[in-house]
Amino acid sequence: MPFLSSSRSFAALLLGAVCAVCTVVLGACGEDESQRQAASGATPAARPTSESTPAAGRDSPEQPSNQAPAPASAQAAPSASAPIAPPSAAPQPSSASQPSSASQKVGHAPELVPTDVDYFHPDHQPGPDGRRPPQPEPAFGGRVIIRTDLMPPSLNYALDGAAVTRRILYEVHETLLAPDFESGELVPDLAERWDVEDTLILKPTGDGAEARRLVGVVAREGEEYVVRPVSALSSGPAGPAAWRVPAADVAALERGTVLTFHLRRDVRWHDGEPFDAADVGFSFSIYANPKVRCDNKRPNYAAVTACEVLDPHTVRFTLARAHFKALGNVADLFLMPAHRYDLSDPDHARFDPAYVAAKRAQDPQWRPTADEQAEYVNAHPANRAFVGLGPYRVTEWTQDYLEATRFDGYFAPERGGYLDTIRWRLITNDDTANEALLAGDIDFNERLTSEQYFGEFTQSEAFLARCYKGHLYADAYGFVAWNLTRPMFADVRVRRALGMLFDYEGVRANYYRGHAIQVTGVQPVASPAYDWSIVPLKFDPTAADALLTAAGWIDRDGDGVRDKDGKRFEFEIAINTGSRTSETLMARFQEELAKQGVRARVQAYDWSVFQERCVRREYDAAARGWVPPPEVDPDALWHSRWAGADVGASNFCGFADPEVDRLIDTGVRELDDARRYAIWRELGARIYAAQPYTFLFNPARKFAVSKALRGVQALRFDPNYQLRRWYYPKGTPGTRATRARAEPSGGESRDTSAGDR
Amino acid sequence: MTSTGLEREVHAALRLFQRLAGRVAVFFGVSVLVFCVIHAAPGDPSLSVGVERVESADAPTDAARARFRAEHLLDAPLWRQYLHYFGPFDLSPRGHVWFGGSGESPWGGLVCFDFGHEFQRPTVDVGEELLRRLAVTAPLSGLAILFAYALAIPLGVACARRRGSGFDRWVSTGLLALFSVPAYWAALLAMLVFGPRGLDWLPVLGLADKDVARFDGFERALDLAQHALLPVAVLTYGGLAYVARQTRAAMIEALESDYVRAARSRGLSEARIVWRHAFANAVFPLLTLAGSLLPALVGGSVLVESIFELPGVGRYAYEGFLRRDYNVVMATTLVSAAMTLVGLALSDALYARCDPRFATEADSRSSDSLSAAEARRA
Repeated sequence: MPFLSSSRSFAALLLGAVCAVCTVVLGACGEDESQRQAASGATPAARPTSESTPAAGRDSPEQPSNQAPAPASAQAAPSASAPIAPPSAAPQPSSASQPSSASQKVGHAPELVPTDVDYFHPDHQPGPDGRRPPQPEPAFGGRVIIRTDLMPPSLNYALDGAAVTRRILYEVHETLLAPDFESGELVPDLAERWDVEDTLILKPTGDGAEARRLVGVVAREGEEYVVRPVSALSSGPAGPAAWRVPAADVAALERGTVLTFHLRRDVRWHDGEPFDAADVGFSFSIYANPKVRCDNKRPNYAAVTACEVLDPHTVRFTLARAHFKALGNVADLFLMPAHRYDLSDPDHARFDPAYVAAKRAQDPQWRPTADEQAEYVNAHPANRAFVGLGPYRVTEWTQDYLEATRFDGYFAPERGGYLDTIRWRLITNDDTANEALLAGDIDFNERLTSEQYFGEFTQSEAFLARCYKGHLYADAYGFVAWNLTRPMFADVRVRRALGMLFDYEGVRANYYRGHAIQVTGVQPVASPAYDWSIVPLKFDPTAADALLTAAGWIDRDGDGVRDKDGKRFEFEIAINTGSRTSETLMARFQEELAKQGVRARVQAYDWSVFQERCVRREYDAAARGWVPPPEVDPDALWHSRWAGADVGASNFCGFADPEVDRLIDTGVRELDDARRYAIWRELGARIYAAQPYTFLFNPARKFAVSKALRGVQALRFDPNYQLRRWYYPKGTPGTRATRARAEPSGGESRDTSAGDR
Repeated sequence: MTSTGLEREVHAALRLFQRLAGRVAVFFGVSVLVFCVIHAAPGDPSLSVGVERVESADAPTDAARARFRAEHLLDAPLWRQYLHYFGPFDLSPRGHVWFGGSGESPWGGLVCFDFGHEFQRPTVDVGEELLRRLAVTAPLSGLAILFAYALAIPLGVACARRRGSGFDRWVSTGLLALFSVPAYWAALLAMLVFGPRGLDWLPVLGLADKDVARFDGFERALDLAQHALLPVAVLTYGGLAYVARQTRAAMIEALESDYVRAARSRGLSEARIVWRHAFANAVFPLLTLAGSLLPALVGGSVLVESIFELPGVGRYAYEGFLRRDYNVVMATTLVSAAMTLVGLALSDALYARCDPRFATEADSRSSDSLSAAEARRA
């Protein structure tokens, strides 16, 4: 009796996520996550790494334990009660019986999906001569409707820093520098150029004065440092173009800690006001205001000690210490129009006159306080009625969708894209999204499940008539995390044995139908920091049996379950309710574990409970997934300072290894990419050897898109496609030959959904 | 007015007041109960603060969690949290100065009809959002109830009149089958049959076409009707089956009674017998049922709303629960609870109107059904 459903809906509430309809509950183990967020994927990043990695044993990665020298290994994994098994003790897996798949050879990136434009488009397939037909000529105009399964609360990325917000911001906003979607390198955007300088900190002279700092590009020449200021505005003793400092006088050298951005002069906000350095300065200032709700982003800027507006088009950031992400974080600063948000000088023209008039009416002497400023930012209407700098501006935001249309005042029209309108349509239910795709209500769905991708849906007449499908590799991966504070998982041999009881090839072939990569490390597979030379674990019950026996887990009482010191080898694998991937993979895992006398229970938890148990270390094993950024900062995941319970970070294995700590501490300060990647590879090998996770798969992200759209291309970096390259071919109704529109649509943006005020 | 008349009036007013007070007490009892249940449920709401989706891999920073916990008093004793929720004093750090707050927002809480703000979107007022969602749910449910009754009553009556005939058997079996079909399945099936993969007759997404902005008044109405058809149908069929079965049973009982036989023997027309005599007496179970419909109006259906992608109350409650957004869960539950109470009061009133004999008995019955409602909530 569905219409008498108040009690029913309440029951549904209490039952929580058990309900099968719920598409919001998605899985760990990568499959679903991969389809959601960042990543990369299409460019093969193969890089045999043996020459660049100093660690011993890299060429024979089957024996990664070699690199853990005896004294270190006791601490290497302090939670490991037994030393890492020497290769001789670990029976070599019968690798001949488990050939690695053709597409995943050691030392090479697997064949990832190429980045050719319209690679999957049915009208762009190679002919008999092996050549692809030419692309149709692009037209300007038209609308594309993208499905999103989540609507951000606002577009203020400082306050609501979600991946979905970011994707929309790619089209409606700009940053100082932008990552190139193919190479990942930072390229000029709002800043036409930038200078990176180092800070040389001299030893205090002893008279109580503060240590002197020299800023410039620092090079070491023999026994002295040479500091060459790059920007004319660099601070330091006036005079020479370079100055020399004896190495003995130097206390520290912090690389890449002074960043000067030179802004373009032709940039305008969507409301027509010019963009300048004051906007940048204000946008940074909110991180120093504790009442602004930007806590999740604050750590990114914690190391920034100063942001100076040097002139209307130059802004400089000074950092306390070197960090490989410093430039990226600063360049990614979310910019807010100071003339709308800033209350610092209400007598100045750049503020909200209505707000100040209202305040002054109550109190003629009114001056804004920091708290007032924070409240003002937190609840500002422009967080939703967004005023940005991008080629599209937000014109409508309803409960169902967000729409952005071409902004005619965009400073770089040639980068502005072909389409006139981009609409993000909220559809949470996967089945509905597919029907909507067929009905033409959406043009792009980047999240098909395996069943949909390989099943009847994509073969249906309606689908073939309007759409086509394709896939790409994003960076998400799944894993089983072992709680190292549980005694039974403290021994690395046990973890390794458990890892050998996962049927990787079987799952890859049957569940993912080959569209997945078995991963071995914390860096995403598309990153040059990923180590393809590590041989992934193979399904090898014999070797696992030997390892477990060596570790003392033997079925002594003959009840079919191994035991040690009177304790049976039983544990629980926590999964997230509703994750079909986790359910399937873990059921399979459980089966193989049982065959080897290891009893695992798979228990599903509501996400909030699941997360709580992980954070508090109240779990045995947990099947989860990560969606890493293009280059992972391993600190929060693997540094021992986050190993304790309830410290909030993501090291919920409780992993602690002094050598890993050292590598992380060195790596994050290394600004040279090649050297840092080498460190990350060493780190990856060390972590894989310790097996705090049983690393599983990076599954392909499967998408479906309307055939009418061209220029669709898989890119390495988030969001893995770029709407600005998409177009309708010439001759499509509703399009035109030129970028300029006959009558630019104007009008204020409308917000008809949840209002902020 | 005679003194006995006045006495009676006073008595009636007192009884009304008593009943009202009882209902208000029940309402607050429900609010305490739900508040305790949701807070006792495992899962920490602060773990999803500022995090994109409930099951997102990233966790909020400690600072964000601490701020959130302080703002929502999550570390305070439960009674204090409840008092804060209940009002009229705001006990948060920004609340009333009497309770150690800064005095920025001294008042608030349930008694001020203030449902608080969403946890995830701190600028969104739960009460306002609830109203926006009701604007979707209530008309759809209202239509569904209307259709269900409009179809079920004639069907039930027809079955009762032809009791045991082939028609009755077929219709009864059909209704039973309909009643057993889960809404989720029916909705998906309807989507496949009438959607683009099937007959391609009806839209399956939301309540408006993607180009609705370009439509004129008539086109808009037509578009809305087309979009509403499937959700309303799915919301209707289960209730239709249930009400029809109830009607049939009540009518059969009525048609077999002595007064109907007497009416027949007096030679009254069949229509008059069926509608004036039998149906008038069979209407009571339907009234009981009608009382429980009001909460359905505001409760919405999680399943139907999520399949047809309707931003209604059911999904709101469900998503709120997934995030452990206490404010959303409390608001949606309490509105349903309030509507249940109003529904009961309404069916009492209708009973009394249809049959004065019930006017006095109503008290005992309503309190019975109240406790039943309470049990359901728990």
